[in-house]
Amino acid sequence: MSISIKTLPNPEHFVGHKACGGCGGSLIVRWVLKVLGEKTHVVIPAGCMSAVGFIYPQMALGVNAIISPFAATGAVLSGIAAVVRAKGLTDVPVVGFAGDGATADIGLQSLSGALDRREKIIYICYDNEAYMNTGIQKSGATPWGVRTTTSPRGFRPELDAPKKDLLRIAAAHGIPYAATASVGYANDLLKKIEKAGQVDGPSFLHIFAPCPTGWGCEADATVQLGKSVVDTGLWPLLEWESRQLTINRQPKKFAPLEEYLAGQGRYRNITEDEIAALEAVRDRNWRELRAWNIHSSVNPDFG
Amino acid sequence: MADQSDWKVRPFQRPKNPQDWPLTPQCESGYLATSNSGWRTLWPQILDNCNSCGLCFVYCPDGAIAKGENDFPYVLADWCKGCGLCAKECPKDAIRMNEDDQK
Ligand SMILES: Cc1ncc(C[n+]2csc(CCOP(=O)(O)OP(=O)(O)O)c2C)c(N)n1
Ligand code: SF4
Ligand code: SF4
Ligand code: SF4
Repeated sequence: MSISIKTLPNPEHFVGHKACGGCGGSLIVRWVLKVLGEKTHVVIPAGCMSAVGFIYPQMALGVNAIISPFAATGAVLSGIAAVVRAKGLTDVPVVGFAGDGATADIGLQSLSGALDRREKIIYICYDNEAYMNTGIQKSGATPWGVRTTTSPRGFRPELDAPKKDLLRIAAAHGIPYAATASVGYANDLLKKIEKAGQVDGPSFLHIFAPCPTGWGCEADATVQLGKSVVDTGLWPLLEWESRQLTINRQPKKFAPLEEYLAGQGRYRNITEDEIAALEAVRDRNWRELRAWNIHSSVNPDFG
Repeated sequence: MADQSDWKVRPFQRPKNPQDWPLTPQCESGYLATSNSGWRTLWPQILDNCNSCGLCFVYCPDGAIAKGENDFPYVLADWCKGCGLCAKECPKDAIRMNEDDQK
């Protein structure tokens, strides 16, 4: 039976952790382990999910798990994948959960190496759009306009480069499967986890993970923000498979950006002009995505 | 670990002798030494109009909602942080966030 919110398995593998109430990252870890099951081996670099999961002497993961150095998620995943291969195990998913800082910035070369070697790993970036564990510093995945402790006025230098595009970076390695997802679209996310688990080779998931503490939003807003970021067109749901891009959800009309921005302290400075500028960048991004989509379906080899 | 009911607080006794400390940086998988109940100011009360759809179970980031008889949900006092996500996402408005009256 294919996975959905109706068939999400009951066994829990992430309970008693110390994440803030309503943490999107912890919801992702919980879901992924439910889908992949108790044989999963987990790597988590320095960051919120390791800090809240492994608090000595407590161990909130119910499966085998290890904390990796901040920059080394891809390398440690590769090591475990090598052992799994050497032992001839076929039913042990090897999965990493890394924050956006650990993925887009410091761990990028390690991730690139693992993707290039075609390791059989599942790399999940839970994207809370800043370095949360050390106090909300701006990362390469913090969007333009967001206030962090190191970008107090809220602005990245260039609106033209609103945030590192991790899906394209992963896809550029020619790996079998890469996708984006959001906690607001649970069925889509769960199916992508299931697919990633079946891929023979590396897979990469970039998942939107609201963070009430770092974003200055309500603890119960996590799923609603995960929906509205998609509905406003700011977070397209995508799949890159067999060198072809699929846009999983194409809103006919984008919801107004204000709906998403309101209620998030990290956007409290933003002006109307700046919202209009954000819209223009979003629209350009969608034009490029549609062109990529058409191009890759006509000529997958050059996708 | 299997179902939610397997996740119990197991108090951690600080060993007297150095050789008795765990060799790894933490205890075995699933060893929970402290409850999270002290984090909470609100407690989700599940009302009778719940239709057991299971969405609250899906969305709880803490795995603090279990399914009881006929899948009727119940909340685990050790792990619920009172975040209110279950109540917000319940399609039947069948969860009311009350002042916490649990331990
Ligand atoms: C080499 C190294 N540099 C810095 C740190 C300090 N550090 C620990 S966690 C963290 C932030 C992690 O941010 P991110 O990867 O985005 O994950 P999040 O905390 O947001 O979940 C930093 C800077 C470290 N542990 N190792
Ligand atoms: S700071 Fe954000 S990402 Fe970290 S545990 Fe809290 S809510 Fe989760
Ligand atoms: S989401 Fe609401 S209706 Fe559905 S099981 Fe939970 S309490 Fe019941
Ligand atoms: S209030 Fe939050 S932690 Fe408690 S049961 Fe609901 S979703 Fe889970």
